[in-house]
Amino acid sequence: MLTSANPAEKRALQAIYEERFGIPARAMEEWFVYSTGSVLWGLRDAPHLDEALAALRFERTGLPLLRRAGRFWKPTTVALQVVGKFVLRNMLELSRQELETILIEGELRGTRADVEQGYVALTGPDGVVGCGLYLDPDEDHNEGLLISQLSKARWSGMISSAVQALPGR
Amino acid sequence: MPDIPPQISRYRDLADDWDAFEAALRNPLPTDIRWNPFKVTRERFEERLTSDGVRWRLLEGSPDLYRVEGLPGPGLTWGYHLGWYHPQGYTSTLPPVILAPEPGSDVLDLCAAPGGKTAQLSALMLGHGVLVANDINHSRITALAANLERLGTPNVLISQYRGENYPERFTFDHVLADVPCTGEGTFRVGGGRYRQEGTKHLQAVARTQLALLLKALKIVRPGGTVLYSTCTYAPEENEAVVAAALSKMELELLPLPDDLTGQPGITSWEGMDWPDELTRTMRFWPHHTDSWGFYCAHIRKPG
Ligand SMILES: C[S@@+](CC[C@H](N)C(=O)[O-])C[C@H]1O[C@@H](n2cnc3c(N)ncnc32)[C@H](O)[C@@H]1O
Repeated sequence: MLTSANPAEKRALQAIYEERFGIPARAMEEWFVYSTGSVLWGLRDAPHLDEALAALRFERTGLPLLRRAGRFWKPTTVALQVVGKFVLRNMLELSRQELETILIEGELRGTRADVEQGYVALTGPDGVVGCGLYLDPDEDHNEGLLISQLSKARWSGMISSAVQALPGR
Repeated sequence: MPDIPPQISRYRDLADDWDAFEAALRNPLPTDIRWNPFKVTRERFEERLTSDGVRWRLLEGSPDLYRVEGLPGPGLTWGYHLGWYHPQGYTSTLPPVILAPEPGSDVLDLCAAPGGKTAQLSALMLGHGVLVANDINHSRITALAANLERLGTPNVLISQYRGENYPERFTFDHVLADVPCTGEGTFRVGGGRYRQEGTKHLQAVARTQLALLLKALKIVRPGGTVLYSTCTYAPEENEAVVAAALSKMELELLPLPDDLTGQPGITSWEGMDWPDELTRTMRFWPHHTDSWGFYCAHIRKPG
């Protein structure tokens, strides 16, 4: 069942997309936000949307914007790609090769001065690719750690073609 | 040389040029991809193809479709994963183009998975309006959802009803009935996509197709349109189904756009006769389009 997002959920959406990534509120204004508890979904408004929602049973609606990860909410790759051109902050520029490495290995080491610890928008030569998690250096590691949040299943085609292209293959 | 199966050779007198048809079936299918406006501008998309060394050209009658050569594998590129395009055969892009839903309209894609046409309908609607994508099959719905997320289609609601029993509480301006079929049109020699099934199967499929078309016609608003399509040559699944619907209710068959290269629907086959209007429907053959065999009927419910 679909229910509109509650104020706390709307606040989480704002904290992530507006505050963390600097996306202007107007970029997400047209979205109706629904909650299924563990996912907040965005659906573009339409003249007869309410009537359709009342009359039919839906399995899913629109695009996932935030997913619950324990006590926190996590931005989705799907949404970051869609609003990618508006991202201003916490954007991590990677080369094609670094993107391929993080896809294959799942992580990448190296300190980054330009992002805050937490979720980042991984960006490549073609714009925002998706979501990553950046951790600052700590006692155990003197380098920052970037962990891919891209779904291995969704990116399997790219992973296999990147592996194919590795030197020595 | 592998043979053309009997299910296909029975169309010897139906195809306008059997030799050309047979020759087309022996060629591999070209690669077609549809540009997705939700993720990238057309200019950037074309530039990218060109700079990657991909040769491309546009095909008549489907403005967003690119026939490409030199793409490593359409599902293996950055462009695919970023949702810049969707691999979709030329003829399979025609039903949404013909249906041409306006932005803000209410549209149902009755048999939608894996969603190439749903995403295309959404693009034609500029992402605005209620677009319901329905399919009976749960695992195919998973694939549909994954495609829509990759393509960033913003206005789709997914339902899982048996199409014949679709609720009638909400009506639509346009319904796409891209029904399950025997899939003969996807056959290419060595392509391995075509299963041979018997006449019983064909009859059962045709019964489902008629039930789906009748439901589509029921839940479309007066004055609204239904696009019935299949990827088969079988008249039993094409003209016969549309003619059966015409015999049950008052309907208008709309002519298809002039820039499409097809053969008019037929009015008789193996002892069956159908009204002349059926020539307004269209059969698409691989030797005309170098794509899948397809059939489209554009139907208006009087308003
Ligand atoms: C030709 S395919 C649709 C292709 C789709 N329109 C696209 O462009 O990606 C037919 C679909 O109909 C679904 N289907 C089969 N029987 C059905 C029924 N009775 N009601 C609804 N969907 C059905 C199948 O699961 C299949 O996904």
